Amino acid sequence: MNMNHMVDSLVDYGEQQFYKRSDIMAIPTYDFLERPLVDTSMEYDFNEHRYIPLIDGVMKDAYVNLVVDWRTKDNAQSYLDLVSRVIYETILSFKDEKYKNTMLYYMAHSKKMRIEIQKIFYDSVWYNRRDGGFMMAYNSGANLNKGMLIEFGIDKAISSIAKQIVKNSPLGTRYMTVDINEKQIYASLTTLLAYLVSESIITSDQSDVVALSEDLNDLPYNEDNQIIELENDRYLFTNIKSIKSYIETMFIYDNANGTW
Amino acid sequence: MATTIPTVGNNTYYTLDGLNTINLELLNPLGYFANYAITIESPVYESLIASIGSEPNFTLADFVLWCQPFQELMQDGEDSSLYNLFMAFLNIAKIKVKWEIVQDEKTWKRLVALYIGHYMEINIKAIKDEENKLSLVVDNERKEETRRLEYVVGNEMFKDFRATMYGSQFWYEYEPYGRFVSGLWGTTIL
Repeated sequence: MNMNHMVDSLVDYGEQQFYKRSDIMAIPTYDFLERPLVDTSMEYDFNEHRYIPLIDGVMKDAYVNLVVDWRTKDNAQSYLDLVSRVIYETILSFKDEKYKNTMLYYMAHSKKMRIEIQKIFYDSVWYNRRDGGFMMAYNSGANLNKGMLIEFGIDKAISSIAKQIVKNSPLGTRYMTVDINEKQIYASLTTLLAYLVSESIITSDQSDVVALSEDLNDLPYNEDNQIIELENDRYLFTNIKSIKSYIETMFIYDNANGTW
Repeated sequence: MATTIPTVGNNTYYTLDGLNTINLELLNPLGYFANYAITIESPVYESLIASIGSEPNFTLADFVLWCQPFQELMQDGEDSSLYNLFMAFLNIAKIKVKWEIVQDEKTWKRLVALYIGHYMEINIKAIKDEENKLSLVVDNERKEETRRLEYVVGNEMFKDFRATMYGSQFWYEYEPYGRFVSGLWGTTIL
């Protein structure tokens, strides 16, 4: 991977919105990043959708000079790219394949998760300086006397401390604790209908029918949204196709011509 | 309202009230087949509907009071992934745990919370899907592990409820009321 090329691209498109997102929240506002945060500690790979630790950040926060270990900056940065890939795959191993996109979106757009990932990166840099490190996960051995294959497995890809960091955060859950779907509670049927009309989900005429009957069953058939009636004449609107729309509107970097 | 006790607004009785009476009159060749209305002016009891009142509001705060572990899972309110499920169960719980039967706000709120807690517990087990039954990924490594759900969702409701922590609490409290609930066992009073 050409890291410098990627950084340049990000600078050029620094103000670009990578995901379409309406005002209604899914990840709570206090935790939400409009786009992955790139600073001196971590880079972001928009092709594979993962953070990558940077040499300076590791030096500053993990107190390890990787340039000494790996002789050159390029070598050290390539090593950190591999660390990132191993850690992301290990984190994703806690979830089923069907939650992969949702999890990657959450890891990219949550401030809390960014901190947790950074902690795991630094722990892994230390772990890999010990005997074995994450290369243990790649090792296997055959005991020909017993006819057994010995595999260390993905358990050894991160340290026991990193594993605990994963388990102590939503990274280690089987299902997301935060709903990635866009959701909003509306204080009345009128405000809900106004929103649906503004988003072109229903027409004004259809809105008038529901306003008159005050019955949600009069809404036109729609498989993209979920509307639940709450206490005190409030309504919870959920766009259950949110992650699909994020992926559809996502900008993908084109290596051929350097455009998004 | 099908009651024999005269209450305000329900103190008039008809001689041809009910199919049985009508059939008997039809079979009587000398019968007048007249429908007389008899109104009892006094004594008349207070209206049941007025004294029962409408059911109290039930909020997420009421739920996490009795089902504490859900507080962290629900800390982001509607942004929590389980919030929609909670609201859907709340709507059903208000139908199943009838306010008209319990009529005590604190008890009713606890019963509704435990009812929701019971089904949330079952659904969380299903969502976690530790057996990977709902996954399209072939996971050979897990084949040797024989995990199974601890409960059986049977035909009998009380067995179902007693299968979870919150369900057993719910049924212990609700069983005496349950006999008056229509569709479960016994008859309804309203």
